[in-house]
Amino acid sequence: MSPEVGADGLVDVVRCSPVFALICRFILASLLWGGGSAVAAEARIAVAANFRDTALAIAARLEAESSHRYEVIAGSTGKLASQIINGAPFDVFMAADRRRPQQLVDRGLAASGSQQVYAVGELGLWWPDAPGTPALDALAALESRSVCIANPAFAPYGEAAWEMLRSAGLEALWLKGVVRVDNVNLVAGLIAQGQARAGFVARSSLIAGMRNGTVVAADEEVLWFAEQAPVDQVMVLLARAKMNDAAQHWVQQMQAPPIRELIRRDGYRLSDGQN
Amino acid sequence: MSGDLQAVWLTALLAATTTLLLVPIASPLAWWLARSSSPSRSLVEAVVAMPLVLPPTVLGFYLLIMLNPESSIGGLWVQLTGDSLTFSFSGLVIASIIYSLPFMVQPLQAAFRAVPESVLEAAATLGASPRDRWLNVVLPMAKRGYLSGCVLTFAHTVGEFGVVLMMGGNIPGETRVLSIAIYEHVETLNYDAAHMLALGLLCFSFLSLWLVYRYAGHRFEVVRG
Repeated sequence: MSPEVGADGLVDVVRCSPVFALICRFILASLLWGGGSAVAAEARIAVAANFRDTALAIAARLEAESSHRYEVIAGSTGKLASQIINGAPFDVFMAADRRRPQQLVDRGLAASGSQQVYAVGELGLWWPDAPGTPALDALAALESRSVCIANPAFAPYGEAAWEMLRSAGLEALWLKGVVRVDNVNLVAGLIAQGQARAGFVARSSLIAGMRNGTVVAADEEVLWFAEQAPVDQVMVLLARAKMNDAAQHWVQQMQAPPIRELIRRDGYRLSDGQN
Repeated sequence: MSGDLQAVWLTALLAATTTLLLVPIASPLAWWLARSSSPSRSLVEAVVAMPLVLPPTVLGFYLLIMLNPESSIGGLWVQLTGDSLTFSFSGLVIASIIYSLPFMVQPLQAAFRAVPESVLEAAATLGASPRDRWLNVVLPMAKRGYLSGCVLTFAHTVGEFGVVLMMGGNIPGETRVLSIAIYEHVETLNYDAAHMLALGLLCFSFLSLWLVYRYAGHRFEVVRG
């Protein structure tokens, strides 16, 4: 029996099976429908997880003021960078560190000279039932399995948290047991749900969580490391977007006063924008 | 919510496309596997069954390497279409075809094997051409195999997660399928939305399996005994 005959026979299957007919009709409809309604965003903005809500607010504002359309895709900085290296169709990359944007520029995947610090994030130790105010060295009293950080391998806030933990002189064995999660937003969620007792959060994720009601945190429950561990968040225009007006507009607007105000309101400090 | 509707739609589109493309790919393959006595048959069978036991991350990793714009296949695709195969719908279709291959091949193979040689011989002596035998003898007898294969392939593609996570990313309208949408809702503590999608998928999975058992009887095999 040759394959050609097999393929011919399929026509018969399509005819005799109602399920097949249904699927066919469905696919046809989908192609027609999809063709008409595919209003693709003009620019895809890949943002570090902690900046997700702010980026959505910025997108809403820019869309209201212009005809540009934006799509925000959030993930940890390291993961987004590796996706870009593997061909992900993003136009702007808003990282939570300096290193990854620079790597993309070095590889020719981002426009050189387009780097700018768009926000300076703040790392904090959130420990709701701490005895007194949270302190780094007091963490040793907790089981390390109940302490949570973003994964230092690909999340800048995790990297900063790991440095703080290591500098606090905690035992190597204790450090090994610390729970690492996908991104810094998850840390706040896990503590809010009581699944972890303490963890290193971004000020922005706490603010976002409190705004949507999933997190309740009092100020005295958090120890902030504004000076010891400022997190410079750098953005770049990706190479494929050099001719993309929407992406250019996004990059230019980041230093505009109303946008800077949005960023500041969400728990970031601002720099002068120079790299 | 419109984002979730889009994810439902995208998932259905991916599953339907995969199922439709797999029927012509799997039919000749399953026929050969069911009828051949070639020594290489077990080898091919093992390769086809690989996605059943292989962790999706392994498959996703290799696909990422094979399809990225700097590889030969991915590079060729970029030259032809201007788009990258990784992190795109087309890339997901290729991944799903590989990932769901055994779910189409195995029910078909079982159905084809159940067609007795004597019936085909009788048809041949009555003057039926190979094409005639295929259309009027094999296909009607293998109808249930096709039903099982299609339902299982569709359902399995709907449930895809690891492969998409590795090489699909999370791009709305392009690669943000249901399982990824649920993952993101959980990550952003949006449990209500996650519940709704998860419950929907639970009911869908049950219904598809029930459909298979109800209408295809016990004639389908997922893993060959």
